[in-house]
Amino acid sequence: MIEVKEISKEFKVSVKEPGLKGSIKSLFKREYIIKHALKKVNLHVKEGEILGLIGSNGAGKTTLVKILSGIIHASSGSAKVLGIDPWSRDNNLRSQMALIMGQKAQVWWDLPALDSFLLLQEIYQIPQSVYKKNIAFLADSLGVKDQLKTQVRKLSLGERMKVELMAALLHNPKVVYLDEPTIGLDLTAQKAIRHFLLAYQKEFKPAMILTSHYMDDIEKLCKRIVIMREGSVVYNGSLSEVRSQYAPEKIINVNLKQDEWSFEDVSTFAKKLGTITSFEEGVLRIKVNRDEVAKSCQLALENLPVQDLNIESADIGDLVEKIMLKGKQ
Amino acid sequence: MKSLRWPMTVISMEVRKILAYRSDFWVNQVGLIIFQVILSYSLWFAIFEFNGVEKMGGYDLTNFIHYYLTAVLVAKAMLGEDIGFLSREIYDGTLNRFIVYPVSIFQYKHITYLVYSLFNNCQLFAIFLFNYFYLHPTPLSEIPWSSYLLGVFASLLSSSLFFMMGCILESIAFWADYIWSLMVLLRMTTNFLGGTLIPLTFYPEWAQEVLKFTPFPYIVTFPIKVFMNDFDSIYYLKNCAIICVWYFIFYLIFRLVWRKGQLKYTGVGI
Repeated sequence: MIEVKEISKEFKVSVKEPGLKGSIKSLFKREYIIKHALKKVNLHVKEGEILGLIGSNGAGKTTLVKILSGIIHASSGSAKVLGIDPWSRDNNLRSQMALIMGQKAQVWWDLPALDSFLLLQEIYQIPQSVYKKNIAFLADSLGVKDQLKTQVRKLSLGERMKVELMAALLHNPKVVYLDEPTIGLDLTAQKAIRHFLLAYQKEFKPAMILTSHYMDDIEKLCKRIVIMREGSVVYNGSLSEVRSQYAPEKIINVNLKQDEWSFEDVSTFAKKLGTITSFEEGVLRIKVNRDEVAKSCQLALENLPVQDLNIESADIGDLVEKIMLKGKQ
Repeated sequence: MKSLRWPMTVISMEVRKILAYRSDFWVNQVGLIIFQVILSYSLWFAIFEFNGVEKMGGYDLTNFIHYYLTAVLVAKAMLGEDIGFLSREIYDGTLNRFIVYPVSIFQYKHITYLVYSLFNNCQLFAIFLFNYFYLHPTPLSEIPWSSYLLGVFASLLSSSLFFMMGCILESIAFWADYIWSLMVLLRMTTNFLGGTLIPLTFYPEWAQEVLKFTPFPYIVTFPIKVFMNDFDSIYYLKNCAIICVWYFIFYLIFRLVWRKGQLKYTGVGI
């Protein structure tokens, strides 16, 4: 559905020295630098897949989304969305595509959302029966039935984002770009939007690209991720692979029963299971190889006065950060 | 017929937007008219009395007030939407939404522009009523309704031409980011050379001849003359045709500028 081959994008950005002198100088002579926003990026997204696009600020995520939605042109490389070049601004493609930018309003602020939806119904030529059905489904799933007649600018940030999602998905797009859809939202709103996106994906199976700085969004919604750093793809694979590849160990947390153990005995035994990362106030943390987690747990239960035990996977955010920093060092 | 439905919805939506802010609507539609009537009457009454003349540039006081009011409102109709109808969207990245919609941005913007022009034309209707009742039984009150309707059409045509000129300058925002001053300059030039400030008959003969080769008189003076019933069918048709030619020329330039500008667009902003 989405195919990206060797896409690069350079921007010419003006720079100015700070202070009044710099401002006066820039009136007569302006200096520019070339910023390489994307460097030979390759990726593909299948029907029904949600691809997570991760990277720090300025990594090129939004630039890629803008290129794929036809907003900006690539400097080189090629892309096909539903078999069509996105820069051709083909109406057939545009009527099957949706873009949601968390930091940019798409609906009209001065009017209630329903007014914007009526215009979108005509723009996308949505038949009345489909329009009614979709409004009902989307409003119900997002819980904004009562907000649709209120002027958009008077809605809360969370409500506005939900309304933006409704506006973007009203025409059942086959390709959806979500650029930080949960930015600035509280935890409840973030959760509601994640639930909705999963339900939507199940129902309509669009190809989705999601960019987000919230790892919860990525973990809950994406099976596959692309990690970008300074315009290049540094990882392209499944989320589970990130864990097995970059976190070959897990942490076993053992809560010991009170006063039934000695520090030396427990430490000596724990060292046989793996590496002790901490041992304080009766809580022992042991780092063990993923393949030996079950065996180590069994041994711990048999040989230590265990009150409670749990297994901790490495934090996905830390792993992503590790990957992002890897090539930098 | 489906392709005609979205422009109709855009018109309806823009009207809803204009009506969304009640106080602004009444101030703009009624308050400004009253202000203009008072201003023009006091200004030109004082000028005529100070000079002790009955006529200036072929206009007596009543005609002058009528001309001035019509000119101000024709110019307001010509201006349509505020400065920045395209450049602001380029500058703050809100153009993105129009790029992803499967409709022409140009058509969309043109429709919204004309909606604002049409609304401003309603103010001319108020002036028409003012003439009819207040100035009765002067020759101005005898202006037929057909002149008003033809004037509205002429005003929409001239607004379209001004929109097209504006589009070219607004598109410069792809390169320059901020083009507010450029648009102000265009408005001032059009008002000065089009006949909003004073009738073109006040200008020297040679200047009037030169101006005929520019689009400005067709944008302002032409609709004013129609609203004042100072025209014949040949003049009307000829001016409409000239506006269409200018429109086409500017449209070609706009397409070129827009196509080049889009390559510069970054979609970033506030």
